[in-house]
Amino acid sequence: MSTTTHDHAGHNHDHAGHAHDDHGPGKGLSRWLFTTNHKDIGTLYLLFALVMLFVGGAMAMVIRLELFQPGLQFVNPDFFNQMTTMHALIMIFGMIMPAFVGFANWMIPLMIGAPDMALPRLNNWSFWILPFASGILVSTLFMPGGGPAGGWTLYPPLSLQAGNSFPFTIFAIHLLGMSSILGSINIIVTIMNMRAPGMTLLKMPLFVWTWLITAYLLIAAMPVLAGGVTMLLTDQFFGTSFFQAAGGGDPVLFQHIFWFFGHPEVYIIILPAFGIVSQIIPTFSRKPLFGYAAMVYATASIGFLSFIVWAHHMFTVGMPLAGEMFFMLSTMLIAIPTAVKVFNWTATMWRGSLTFETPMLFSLAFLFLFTIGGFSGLMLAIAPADFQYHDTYFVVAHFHYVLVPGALFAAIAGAYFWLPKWTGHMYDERLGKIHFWLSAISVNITFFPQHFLGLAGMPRRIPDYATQFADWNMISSIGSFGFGLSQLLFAYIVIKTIRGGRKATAEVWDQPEGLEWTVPSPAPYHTFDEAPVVK
Amino acid sequence: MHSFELRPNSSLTPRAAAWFYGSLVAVLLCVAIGCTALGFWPVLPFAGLEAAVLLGAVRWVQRRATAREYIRVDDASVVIEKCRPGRRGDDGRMAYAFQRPWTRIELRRGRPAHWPSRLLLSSRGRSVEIGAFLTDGERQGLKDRLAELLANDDLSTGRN
Repeated sequence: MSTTTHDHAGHNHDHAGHAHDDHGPGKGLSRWLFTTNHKDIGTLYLLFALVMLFVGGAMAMVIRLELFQPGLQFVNPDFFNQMTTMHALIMIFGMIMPAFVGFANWMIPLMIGAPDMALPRLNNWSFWILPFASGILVSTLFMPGGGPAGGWTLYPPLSLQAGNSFPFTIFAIHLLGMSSILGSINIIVTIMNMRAPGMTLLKMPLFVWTWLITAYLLIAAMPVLAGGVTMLLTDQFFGTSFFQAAGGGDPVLFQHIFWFFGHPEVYIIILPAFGIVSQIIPTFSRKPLFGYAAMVYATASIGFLSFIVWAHHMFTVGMPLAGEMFFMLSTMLIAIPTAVKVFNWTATMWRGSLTFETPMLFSLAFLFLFTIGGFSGLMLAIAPADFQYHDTYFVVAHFHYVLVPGALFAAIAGAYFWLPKWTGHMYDERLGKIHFWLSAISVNITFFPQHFLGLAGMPRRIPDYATQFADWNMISSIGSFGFGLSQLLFAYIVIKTIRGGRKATAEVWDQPEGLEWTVPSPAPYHTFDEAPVVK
Repeated sequence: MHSFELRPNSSLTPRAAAWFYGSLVAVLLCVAIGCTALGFWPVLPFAGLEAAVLLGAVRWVQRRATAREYIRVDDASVVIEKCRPGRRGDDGRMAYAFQRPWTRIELRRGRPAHWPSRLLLSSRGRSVEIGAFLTDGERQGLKDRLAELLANDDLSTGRN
């Protein structure tokens, strides 16, 4: 904890504090098992997310391999369904959320001038729950009857037909949720309590703001998921009938419960991505972020609106017309604060001295491609049109545009942006640019044709399809193999940078803004031994 | 006489903490009570559990923020007063007095090495830890300053 000491000698008043030897991390496995250092824990989160990217990515490859051409080639339909379900659960709970918690762990204390997180031991615990929970989830694939196959949304009664894996899946989701909640509580308490003197709320970097609002969303939404999956469990094993029509329950109510959590979850994933991009674009435009206050209010508005739009995921269940109107219009309302953000990023670049290093390239791709995902979201928000799009590949294309070139590209941009600060080495810019172009091209080859497939009526979550969909599916699969291979290059670049490379300066980039750039690269194991004063 | 006041940095005032916690829990409870009213009562215990953990976290950092330590060094004595409200006694005050010539200061490195260091004032077999809430750098600075004062025979001359 950053601290003040006063020495009163008569009328004299001086501050204690001198340079000291920076003693580094412990050695061996115990360093990582017992660490309470925010940088170690951030590294653990990020490496874990990278591993899970390839686990979930391998499942995506199975899906696209099977869909390469019509007919059943490689896997049976049940295993295909297990792959779609597990791919989503792993990518959301095991990869993208931990990645952003990793960024928060590494960067928030550095950005607000705190020596560590507010609750370091809890921080260690939050992380170490994660590999066990993910292990349990993945292990269900090897259980009799296989893993969950009813989709990540776990809709009953389909999800209740799973075999032995069902209670393990629910337990894993509880643990993953617990890890997220504990991580969020730590982040929110750190932001509120550990800011350096002078770091008022409206001086915080936008990444910190987006995480503050994300943590609010997580804390408000997670108990609903926990309650929902617990009710599934009691319906299955304890004779309750929350969602069983035979006992007077209603399976559609699970959809309400799930999406009341699920839609804020979408923003839990994308808001930290907005924060990362808001740090990168001003740095490579060599201008301050345009409309900082508007960005903060837009983020808060998106957070609020995320709680009143959930039923747009289920327009086709038979809602009253007034309900459809409300959810259609409230969903469209989100376009306004989102547009504020897009316009402000664009205005930040306007007449800036732009350079296009890898983090900036990924951020620009984020800006263009996330906006495509936003526009297809607006199309889906139109209730009468949604009746046509619902459960088609158009929806798959929409949310993948938001989550892959949206959230994942922002995470990759953030990794390139801060990798020199973390490791003390510059990454290989040439390889970074190759990684960018391969990723940007292949991600569009993968997901853009899925719009056409969906508009032509191809349903999602099917292992086989009519021959009319063959061409675009083949192109989409080729793109996905390219995208998967491109990410191996990313892993290589990260490992290469950790192992060595050109030394990074403290500032790393050309006059970047923020406290994190005032400490040396790599950031010392203990930073801000004396609290910086923010003017 | 030289006196030191040690206090942790805290950007969250008690009033702000109440607002922060209240606003979060109000949203959380609205959601949980709404779900309960619709018959989904299992949401409520999870929300309650989460509110309790959050309350524990906020109270813990708040209590930690109110900790104070006062160290007075004069020609004859070193007096340490520790205030940890809610920890011991009515106001959590504990006072220790050492004879200055017999007082030693020691900065012990953390074990394992990356754990926080510990700063101890000792005299005739008794030790008191000070500045546990300081950062390592601040502890080192305090140790240097106190060692300088303890080594100085005559504090009244202002030679320190």
